[in-house]
Amino acid sequence: MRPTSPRAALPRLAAPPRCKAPLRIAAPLLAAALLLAATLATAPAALATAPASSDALLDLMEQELARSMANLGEAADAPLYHCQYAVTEERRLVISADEGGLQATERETRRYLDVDLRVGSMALDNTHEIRGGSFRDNWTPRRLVDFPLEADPEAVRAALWNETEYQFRQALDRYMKVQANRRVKVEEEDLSADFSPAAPQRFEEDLPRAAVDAARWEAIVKRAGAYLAAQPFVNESGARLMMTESVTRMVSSEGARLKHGYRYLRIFLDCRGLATDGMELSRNESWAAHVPEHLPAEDAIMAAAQRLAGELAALADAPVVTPYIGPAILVNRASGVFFHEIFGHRLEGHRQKRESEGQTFTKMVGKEILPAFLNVYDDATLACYGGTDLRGFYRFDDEGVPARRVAVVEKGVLKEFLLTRSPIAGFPASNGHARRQVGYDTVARMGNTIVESDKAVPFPRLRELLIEEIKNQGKPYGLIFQDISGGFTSTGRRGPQAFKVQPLLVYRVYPDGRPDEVVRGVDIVGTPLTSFSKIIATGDDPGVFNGTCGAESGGVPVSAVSPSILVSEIEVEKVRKGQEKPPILPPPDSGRKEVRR
Amino acid sequence: MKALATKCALAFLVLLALAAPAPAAYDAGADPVFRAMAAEMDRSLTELVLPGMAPPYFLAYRVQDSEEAYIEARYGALTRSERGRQRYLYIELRAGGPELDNTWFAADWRDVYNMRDGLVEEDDVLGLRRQLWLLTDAAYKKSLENLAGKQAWLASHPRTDSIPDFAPAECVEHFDAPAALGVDMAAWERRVREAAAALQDTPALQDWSVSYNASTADKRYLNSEGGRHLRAAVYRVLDVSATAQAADGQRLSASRRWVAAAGQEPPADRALRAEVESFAGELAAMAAAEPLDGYAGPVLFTGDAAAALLAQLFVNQILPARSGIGADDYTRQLLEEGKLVRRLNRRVFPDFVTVRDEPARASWGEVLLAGYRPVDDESVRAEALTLVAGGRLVNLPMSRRPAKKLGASNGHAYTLQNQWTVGAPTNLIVSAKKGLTEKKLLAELRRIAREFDLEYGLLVERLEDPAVAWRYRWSQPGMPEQELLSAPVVVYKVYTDDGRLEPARGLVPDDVTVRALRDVTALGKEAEAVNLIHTLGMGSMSLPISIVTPAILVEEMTFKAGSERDPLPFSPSPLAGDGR
Repeated sequence: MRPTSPRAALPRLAAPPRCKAPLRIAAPLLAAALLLAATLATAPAALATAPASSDALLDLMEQELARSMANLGEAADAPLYHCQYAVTEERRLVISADEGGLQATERETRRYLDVDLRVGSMALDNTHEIRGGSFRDNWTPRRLVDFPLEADPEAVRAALWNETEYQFRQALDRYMKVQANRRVKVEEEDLSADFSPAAPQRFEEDLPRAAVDAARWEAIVKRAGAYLAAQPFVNESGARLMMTESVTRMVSSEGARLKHGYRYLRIFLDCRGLATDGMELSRNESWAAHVPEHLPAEDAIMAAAQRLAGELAALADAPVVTPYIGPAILVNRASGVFFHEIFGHRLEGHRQKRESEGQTFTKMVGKEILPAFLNVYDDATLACYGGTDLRGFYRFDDEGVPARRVAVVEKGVLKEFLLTRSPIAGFPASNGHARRQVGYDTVARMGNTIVESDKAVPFPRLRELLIEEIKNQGKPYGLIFQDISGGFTSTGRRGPQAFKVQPLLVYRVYPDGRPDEVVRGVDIVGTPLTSFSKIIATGDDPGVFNGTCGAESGGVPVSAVSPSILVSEIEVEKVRKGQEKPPILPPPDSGRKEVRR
Repeated sequence: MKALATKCALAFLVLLALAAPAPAAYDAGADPVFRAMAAEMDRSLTELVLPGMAPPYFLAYRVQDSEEAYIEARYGALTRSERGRQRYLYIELRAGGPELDNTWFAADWRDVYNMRDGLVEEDDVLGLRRQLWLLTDAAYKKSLENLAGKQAWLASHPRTDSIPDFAPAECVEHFDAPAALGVDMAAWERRVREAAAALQDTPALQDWSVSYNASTADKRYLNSEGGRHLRAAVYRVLDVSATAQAADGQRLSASRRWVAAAGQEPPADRALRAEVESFAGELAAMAAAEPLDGYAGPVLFTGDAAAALLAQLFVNQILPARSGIGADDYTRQLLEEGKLVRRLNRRVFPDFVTVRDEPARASWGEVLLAGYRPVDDESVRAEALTLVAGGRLVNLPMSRRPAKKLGASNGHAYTLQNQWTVGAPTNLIVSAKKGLTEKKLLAELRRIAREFDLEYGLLVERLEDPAVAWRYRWSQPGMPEQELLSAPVVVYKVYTDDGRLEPARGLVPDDVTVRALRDVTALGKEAEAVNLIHTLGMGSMSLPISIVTPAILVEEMTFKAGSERDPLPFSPSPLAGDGR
């Protein structure tokens, strides 16, 4: 009954807050940032701005890095050829209410250290895939290393040294296994190197602590939480404001020196109930912002709480859908989640290279993989879209490469993948998509994934097209997926190349003019190549999904933007349903006489 | 003599201002948590029943409020400085009847780790009631399934005894004043930082940390038989841990912990600095020592090591007092009775040893005891017990769950974080009919060593904390062997010829069993109180206790050479002389 993870349910935006101001950059660094923006727009690999050094911690990191490279470079059989130190400061604020009661406001600041080092050579190093074993051979459990909050030179250098020693041992150990694995296994399909050059970037930017009026937000969160908790059918509920300010300092043996920070504000409402047949029901809503001023007003939050309670009540009485194949609309944000899960993950660079991956699109560059009216790009340099702040915004990725717009699909044709500095066949350089949660190894991840359409119609027309499709196919009804909680997709070769996504709010649409009907109890299932070929039209209503994506490199903030899409055919199957009976007793009534003992 | 001269140098500061006087009469009826518990308990006892099923016959709520401050420094700079609050709920709901109910049955291992639930921290009666309502409902349904599972298991595994599952007890009311954390964060940040920085001058250390953790625990309890209490406690824990590496690559990770109860504080400022420097010097000396290949002979445990020996070989092995039923082998192992339980009324120590447990004892000398609990977690008045008399185990700390030959509670119930309640010791006091002085103990150690034709006997001052060793590793360790006793980390050879002390290292226990307690050949004269937040064998749950013990001389123990080694640093530490 503790607050659920915001990742437990993916949010949708019913009323996106307006992006009231461009991204804020501290005045002394504005010129540097503008220069950086110009650099990003023209030559991503060029050296970015280099304002005068003012950060003592970065200085210490550079000094210890130089010492490590000098001492470790030739210290073992395998040479250390690349090393990177990243110190991430995370400042967290959480204001929350559960079951209508306020929790103690949480504030904490921590720093974590990530040391990434490579032994061997760019052609073959310790990060290379080990084939034919267990998944553990290619995945390192999260290692969270507390780092000094203070720039005490001795403590900082010692902490860096200690972790470097640990990681150096792991790298040497793994490099030996990589070499043996390569000798005893068949030749790999993709013989690309393990690492590629990238121009070292130098950029420093402060992220001032945002002033959040905690007392005001405690009152708002309490009111929203109390409202949800008091509603019939709501068994569990929560309301919370979360702010994470994340500042990363990074230096590398190539000369990179970066300090950049991002602020992630979220408001999250959720309520859960239980149908009489044991099916767990939930509704949630969230808002994301870069600055407190972009958060919604209280009346918008309360309106959303009222809507969620109404939707949950409707779901409790809704009929259960049986397995079905037919036409459907995925409403914009639901479509964004759909593209993210089913499409986006299959475009991540490392999945084109690893022999264990299904490589759905690896050999399809230059070929049509989506309908010709669709364009997809990933652009982490966007701080907002259509007035909504984007969580997937960043300036540099976790290998220090500047973010840039990547045209993944143009007019339906696959152009490029999302890449780290680990090259793949035909794509020798990073495009700034190496990402991770602190403590994990980096892999290619999405940032802001944006789907745009050349064949967009207003949503009412899209709904008409759905009804026409229902009639053409002789189906009794179609479906509208208003909200999707998330899902999972198997991209590896061991499992089927299939996906399952979990809708939260689904309507049945009848062709005879009956009102739409809320239904429950279905998951969307399918295979990616088939599913995307079924998209026949889109709305002109791009919606922003802001969330946190979990994968091999942990949870990273992402955004997905998509218009609503009409698909001629989608398959749904029964959900795995809970077996618990609803509570035996009614909820406690505050008007009931209390017993005093 | 080095070992015995370094007596616990706790310079406790008694903060009388923090020990708030108990109110004349606590108004539990005005307390929002008690009000919420009472309201939902009343509803549950009168209305909570599934058609055709039995209603609960006993219900208890425990709500624990904790406030915590945590400050840590590594190498000399702060890495953490945080405060927080939590509120937890433990539900004990019994279905069936006292002769046979749903408790102490686990359908699988997850039931053993049925961790407490978080509760809303605001004193919002309705919010609390909503959570109590849902969690009670879930607990009731689970209890019915567990009862059926237990009955089915017993049908195919008939019992050989007729011990009931729940014993009657006289429940009492007891109300402390809620605890106050009262931490000066700035002062402790400075102390912790300075203490860690002081170790920068010990080049042998590769990594270290100093932390201060203060926490309150206000436990509110209400049961359906009228038992009710609010028991408040404050613990302030100072930890120092470090790792050093011997020339052969063996890693030595040691820790020192001070647990201060009630209004006391662990050592601060100059006293703290002296302690950490002593600790670092000790570890550096151990790392520089020659490794031993193995050892079989007499061992003298002193100070923290004596308390740790008793915690691991005695405390861990007297609970639970009766096995639970697990539906599979692994779960059954988790619920197995302590190895000493089956030796009730038999000899477990030599005949000169007495062990008492005194829950109502608040202090030992100047040390306030962490095990002080005048009322147990079932609202039963805690009784002072003689556990071992004349070397025989004659009693066990009991909750209301009867065991063979022990049918009633003696007020020693303690509810663990996984919501299982066990009978547990509180303030364990070990004594001998005739303890030996330090000098005589050492002479006895040397005499026995000579009898074994040994060049030396062993003096152990500190045992390893496996969690600390894990934290400091540089390479992936192998699976640890399942030993009842952890490895000695601060060890001295005491030579038989002239009694000189020489650091030693590299030993791990070789199949040490509870039999070692019977091999105790002498105890010291002066007992020392050590407060512990002890990790129990059962599910690794923690238990605050105090162990008051003199030094312990065991006639024969066997150790073998540990095999774990890390490569030496490839690059010198920047804090080492040549690394700067």
